[in-house]
Amino acid sequence: MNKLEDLLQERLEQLEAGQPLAVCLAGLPEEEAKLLRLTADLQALTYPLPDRETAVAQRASLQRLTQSRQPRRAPAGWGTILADWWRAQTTARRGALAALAAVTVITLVAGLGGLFAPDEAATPVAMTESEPASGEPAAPASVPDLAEMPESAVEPAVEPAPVVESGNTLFIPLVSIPLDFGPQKAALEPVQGLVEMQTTEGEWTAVSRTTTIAAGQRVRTGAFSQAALAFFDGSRAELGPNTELSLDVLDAQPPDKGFRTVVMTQWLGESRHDVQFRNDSGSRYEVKTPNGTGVARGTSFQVRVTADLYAQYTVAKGRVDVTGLDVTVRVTAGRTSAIPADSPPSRPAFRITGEGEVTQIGPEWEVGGQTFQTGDHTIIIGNPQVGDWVRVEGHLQADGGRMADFISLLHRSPANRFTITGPVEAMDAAGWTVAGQPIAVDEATDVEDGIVVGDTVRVDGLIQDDGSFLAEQIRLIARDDGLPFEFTGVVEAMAGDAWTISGIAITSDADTEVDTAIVVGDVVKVEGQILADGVWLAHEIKLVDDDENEFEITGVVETMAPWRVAGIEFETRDWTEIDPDVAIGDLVKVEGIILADGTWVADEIERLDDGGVLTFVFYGAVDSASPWVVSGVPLPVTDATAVAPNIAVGDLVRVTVTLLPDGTWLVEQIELVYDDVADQGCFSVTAVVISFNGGQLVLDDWPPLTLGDVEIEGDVAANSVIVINFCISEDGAITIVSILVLFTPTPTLPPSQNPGDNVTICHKPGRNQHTLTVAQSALQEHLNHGDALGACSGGDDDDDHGDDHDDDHHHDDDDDD
Amino acid sequence: MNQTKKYLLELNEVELVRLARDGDAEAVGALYDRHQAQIFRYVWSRVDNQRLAEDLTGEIFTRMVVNLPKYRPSGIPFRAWLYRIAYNLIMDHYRTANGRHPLPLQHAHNLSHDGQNPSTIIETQLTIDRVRRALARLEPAQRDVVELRFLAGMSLREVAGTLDKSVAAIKSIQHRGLKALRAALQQG
Repeated sequence: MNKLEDLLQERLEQLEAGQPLAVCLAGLPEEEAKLLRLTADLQALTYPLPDRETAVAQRASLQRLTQSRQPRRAPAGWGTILADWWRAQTTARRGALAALAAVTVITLVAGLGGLFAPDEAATPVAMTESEPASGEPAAPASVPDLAEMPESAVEPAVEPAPVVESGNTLFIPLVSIPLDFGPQKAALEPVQGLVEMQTTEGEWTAVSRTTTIAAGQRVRTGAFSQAALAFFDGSRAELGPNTELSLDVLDAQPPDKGFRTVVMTQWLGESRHDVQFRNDSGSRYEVKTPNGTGVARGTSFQVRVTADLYAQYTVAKGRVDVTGLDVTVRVTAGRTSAIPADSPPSRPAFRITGEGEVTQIGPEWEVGGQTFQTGDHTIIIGNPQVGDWVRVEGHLQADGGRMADFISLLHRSPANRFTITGPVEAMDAAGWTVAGQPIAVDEATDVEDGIVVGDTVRVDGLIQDDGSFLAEQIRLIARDDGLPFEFTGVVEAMAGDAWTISGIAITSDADTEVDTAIVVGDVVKVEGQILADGVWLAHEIKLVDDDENEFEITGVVETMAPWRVAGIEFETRDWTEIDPDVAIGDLVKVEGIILADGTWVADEIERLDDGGVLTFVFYGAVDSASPWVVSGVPLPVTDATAVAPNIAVGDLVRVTVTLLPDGTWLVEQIELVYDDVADQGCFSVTAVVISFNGGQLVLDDWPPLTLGDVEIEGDVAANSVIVINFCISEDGAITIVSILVLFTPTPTLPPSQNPGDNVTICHKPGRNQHTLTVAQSALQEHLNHGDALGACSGGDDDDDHGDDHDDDHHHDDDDDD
Repeated sequence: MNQTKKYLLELNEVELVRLARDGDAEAVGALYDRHQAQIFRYVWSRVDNQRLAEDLTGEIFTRMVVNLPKYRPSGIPFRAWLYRIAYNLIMDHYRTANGRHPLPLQHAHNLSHDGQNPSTIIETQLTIDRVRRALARLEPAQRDVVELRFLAGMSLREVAGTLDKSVAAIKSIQHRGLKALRAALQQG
């Protein structure tokens, strides 16, 4: 360290603070001036930027990872159900599965938890009886207890998987296809985390790179893990965390080679399927679950199986026929059907997804002004509270109610929150006193272990309705167990735990890390703490180069002429930076150099304590500005308080308070965080149009909506199926953002037909077309999937014995109602 | 690319880190927005490959998320902690990677800069290239300090925290490092 280094650093700081280069150069020696110019040039260079798309994908990936790692608490009802279900498990094998599954249902949202937004035509559905699913799947294989799994399974090192997100669709590219990939072999790609495959001998082996998997084999993923299966015909399945799936039948012939047959059983977890459309009757793509089977046409859909064997099929595109207990329901785009244990599939219901502020929790949740019921199978992630912002996915029930399938915390509300850092003065089961402030704790307060009175802690929590503080989390910041020191010196003596280094008596103990090669005369760096009794206890003593001769000590200023801190006497020079208000008795940190003659010379003396002044901040809504009350807390605002302009009642503000030694508050600053104008929530709902006339839109089970300047994609008409995107403001007003028409039925029917008459249609017009006569009530459904009115031109294709010929067994929703 | 929510913009780094540590995905996004460009620049100066630098940048932030629960605000500043992750990852990379990482053609456009004429681009690229070659000739400690100070834009204290050295030592190394860099640039 010398004066020139200091001078250069001073000018660098001026330059970094925005001073003109010419000003910073003034008076600098020539060599340092050149160095300063060099740094200016370095900072002026234009550097490459990361690819924007990559950055967007990385950011999204990090956010998903964050959500997947969040500690999760199930609501009481859900926990009870899990506990009951757990007790119902009677064998060790099922118990092990339960352990993994219990985690699955709580963590499922992450990773592949991105959801299907309704984006394709949804058609009226039919319930009918059909043949039972062939071959009941065997019981799931034994899964090791989570606690026994390798650490990587629980918290894997996440590779930067090349994941690109587009809307709600997660594309996970398949990096390479092995050579033996074929119709009877699917490519299994471990996308992230722990992916395992079961060998023919029943052993589970980790999959580290893309490999192949055949019928009869199983694959499973660990926590925070993902895998992808690519089939030879181009169809694809993506497996989310904690998912187990077996391939039952596999012969994925491409269209020009034969039929595609892909049958799998999903035992647990979540999977997403993109199935290549096949215009032939012999191909099938089935995903069985413990309770039923989903048979896909060319389609995109999601399957979820929870720990209590509750299966749910959600369709994003095309349709899936879901069968359980001999009942089949047809699930079309934008709808979902669930199969509880020992029950038939539920009637397909429209999806509703969105995000908004929580205003009520309990059996009924209110999110963004919308009421959602919660049930046994509702998954709640992140323990959201009133005021927080959440994402909700659910479905519309037959009675018009909305059932939440899962609710995931997006971010905590900053309102009504506080943070305070200070010493713990008292602590008991009911409450603590931190920096003079009483703070309540309860059973939900997360307290770091080992905190004792005297420790400095950080408390984060909620300001309750009565203005009192409730701690949510208490973390240890510092412990008053000595002042740190660090210096480099010459070992003058060493005997057991007693050392003399550059004249300082140092003590080591069993925890001290000591370079074994040290001998008297060596230059060493010693770090440690000066204990209350004045003992310098070393944490580390290590060999260093001779030219490293710096020191850094923290202690109380004992004298200033000469300078003496923590018993060490040192000198200052004209370049030594000394905080102007340092006085005897202050706690300071001293940095400097030990000269060859053993003199300690300070480069910098920095005052550490601030007279015991403590500050804290909290966020809250303004209740009143005269006098000032925020979140029920009266604020002693004075002329010295910096108050941001234009703050109104209801706005969210950040308040900075100084705690004076006598316990009173000095309000330093009130800042506006945001105005009270935000929307309460925004949603997407799939719905059927009852009527649309003169800007008035009437939906099934909705109040009439007046459309203003709204973007509408497609033609809205009676019976159209639409996705409506809207936001709800604080006062409950609904603002429609956009409308997407998924499907508009053919407006006219043949005039000569009566409702009970049969209609002639051309089924699957094209290469496999077939003339059929169907009931008038079934006409709409046929038209929806592309059939045409009237007989086929050019005659029938004799090859068609399509699997859709159960049409006469299906009934429209109206019939079911 | 900045998608940071408005309310997060109001928070200082300590508060943001606390939210991120508590699992707030938006706060993690905000931290990424704040530091991603400089972290990328720092990594890029070390690996000389746009795509690899992007990958490593992503991995650094992934490690940030994974390790956030262990981060203590009472320790080193957050930015210094983040750069320590970056530094360790780069060292790991050099320990394990033997081959070179070719830059695909589709990434070449990222080296251009909007609003600059071709001659400026060439000039800038040449200068950046020279700087990087010169940095590679510095002693490791000097290179660390110069890159963290002037490419990553860290303060002296943050560099000290990142490299686990005293401020006085960093000040000294900075001085020597700049001298050495200047000499290396003069040598071409």
